[in-house]
Amino acid sequence: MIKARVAESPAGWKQLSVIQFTALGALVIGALVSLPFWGGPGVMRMLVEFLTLLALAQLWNLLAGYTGLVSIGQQAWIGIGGYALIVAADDLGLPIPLGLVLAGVAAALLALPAAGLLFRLRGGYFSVGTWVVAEILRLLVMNSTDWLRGGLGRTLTATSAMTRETRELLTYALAVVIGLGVIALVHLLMRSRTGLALTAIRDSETAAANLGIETQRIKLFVYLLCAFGTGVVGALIYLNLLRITPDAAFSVQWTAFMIFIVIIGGIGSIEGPIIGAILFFVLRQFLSDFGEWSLILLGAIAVVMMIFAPEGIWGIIRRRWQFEIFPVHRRVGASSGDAHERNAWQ
Amino acid sequence: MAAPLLEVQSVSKSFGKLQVINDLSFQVQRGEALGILGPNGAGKTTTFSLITGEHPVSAGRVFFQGADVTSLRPQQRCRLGIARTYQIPRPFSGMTVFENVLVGATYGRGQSERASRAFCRDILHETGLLARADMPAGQLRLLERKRLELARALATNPQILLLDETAGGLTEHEVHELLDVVRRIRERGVTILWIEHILHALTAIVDRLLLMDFGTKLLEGDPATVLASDELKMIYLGVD
Ligand SMILES: Nc1ncnc2c1ncn2[C@@H]1O[C@H](COP(=O)(O)OP(=O)(O)OP(=O)(O)O)[C@@H](O)[C@H]1O
Ligand SMILES: [Mg+2]
Repeated sequence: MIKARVAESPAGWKQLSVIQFTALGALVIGALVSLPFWGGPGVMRMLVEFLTLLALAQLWNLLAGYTGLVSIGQQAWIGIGGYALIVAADDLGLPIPLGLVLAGVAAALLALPAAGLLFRLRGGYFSVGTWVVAEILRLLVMNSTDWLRGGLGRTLTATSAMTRETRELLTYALAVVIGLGVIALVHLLMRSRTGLALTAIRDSETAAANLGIETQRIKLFVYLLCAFGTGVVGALIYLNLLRITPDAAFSVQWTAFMIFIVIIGGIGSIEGPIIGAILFFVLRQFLSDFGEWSLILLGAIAVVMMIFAPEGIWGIIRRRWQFEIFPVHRRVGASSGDAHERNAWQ
Repeated sequence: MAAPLLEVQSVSKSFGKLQVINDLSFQVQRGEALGILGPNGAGKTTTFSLITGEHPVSAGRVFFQGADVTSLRPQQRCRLGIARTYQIPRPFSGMTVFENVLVGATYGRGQSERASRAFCRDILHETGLLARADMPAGQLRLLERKRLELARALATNPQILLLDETAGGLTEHEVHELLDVVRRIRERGVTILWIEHILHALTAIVDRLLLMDFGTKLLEGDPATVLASDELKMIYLGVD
């Protein structure tokens, strides 16, 4: 289905030094942490939305861009996460942060049987299968007319005891933790031994299995991890929005946004979804005048991008300046010294 | 005689109605090099896939080091010491050449990344890929991809190495380079099973030849006998 070219990079490209990387990280974290003191609630609300989209896109990129599992049904876990938060906080009276964690657990638990079916399907069939799973979950929620109030949806009331300021601050704090946490998670994962296996599976599952990689087990791990993460973000989204309906929460639009962000920014990199999320955010404010048409315009932009610059904006930047912020490739650094031995085989 | 390292015992394989391998049996002794010959579509590559476990057999058994491995998955067989190259290379194109080899060393050989670095570097050196180590494998040319196939398989530290037309498409000079590498691998005690159409390359290495067609064994024996046989002439020269 989505066969965008993964941005390839020789491992020898320029990177930030440890000090520069730490400084950049400290700057971003510092700005985000101090924002409530100097930014207004409007800026905070905007950042919550931005960080949620960023986290969603990073997770989709981990699944599709790094592991090759092209899901178009990630809205399943947003919906489950959102409803799980309301059940945990309102029905069970649990604290909000715990509700977020449980939302992720609920998504992962439901993703387990879903994976049992989906992993029998390949390529496009897998993708369509993920959508079917999301639709089934939507219908199940729809039919829970008593508990989940069916198509009418529910409203989060656990936070109504809080002042508006407290609630917004809590939401913002959780968004910062989740947004940065997802980036750190993906980066660490891709630099670990498991990261090697993910890209290997993406590039050739058969060869990966033949070299000893437990392909099914690792794919399942990533699928569940992304369901967990997307479930947590889903809970965050509805902590912010308060009102949930099955049609909105299980809407394929969520996954369309993730795909757009990742494709525009650059699939198979961590920088790509960051750039894509910024661009998406700007574009969306601008396109909101077009109403229903804005989605079609976003889709058109993505298609043009896939045709003319399949490696995305980050891919272009990276190639032009030979530079990476989140390098994931291992390097030998022997290229120059051993240039002579090449000739023997050529 | 000791138990063979590899034994393929009355193996058959069908894809749907198409029978590709038909009651095939042969043995490979430890340290031996066996060449496999046969026309296009004879079932040579499929035989490899049955040995590695990529395809399940329809009938028959595969033994490795005396143990029945017929029901083991490819990953398990890899860790036991069976490695293959692909006739049409399947590099991990988004990863660097070094990372490709690292996959074999960490997952196939079961070593940590740190402990594998020097080992992978040696393999890249031996296969003439060190200068390409940090390049995305997708940017390699065909011949380099073939070398990467070999390097990646070697990184799993195999007992037996299955080579599928590794010399195909190489120039005469490159074939000689390859033969040197394969000889060195043999000297380390690695058993070799080699499918090849380039006869002089094959006979420079192997102790025995196995000729197959239509998924069965036509002839097996020392290279001189097989090469002089009527069966071979019929297949390769089309004479009765
Ligand atoms: N996965 C598959 N599904 C269906 N048929 C297959 C499959 N793999 C191989 N075949 C068929 O099995 C037969 C043997 O194929 P195989 O690749 O083993 O031949 P080969 O001896 O390696 O030939 P070549 O010299 O061309 O590489 C062919 O007719 C091929 O079309
Ligand atoms: Mg073949």
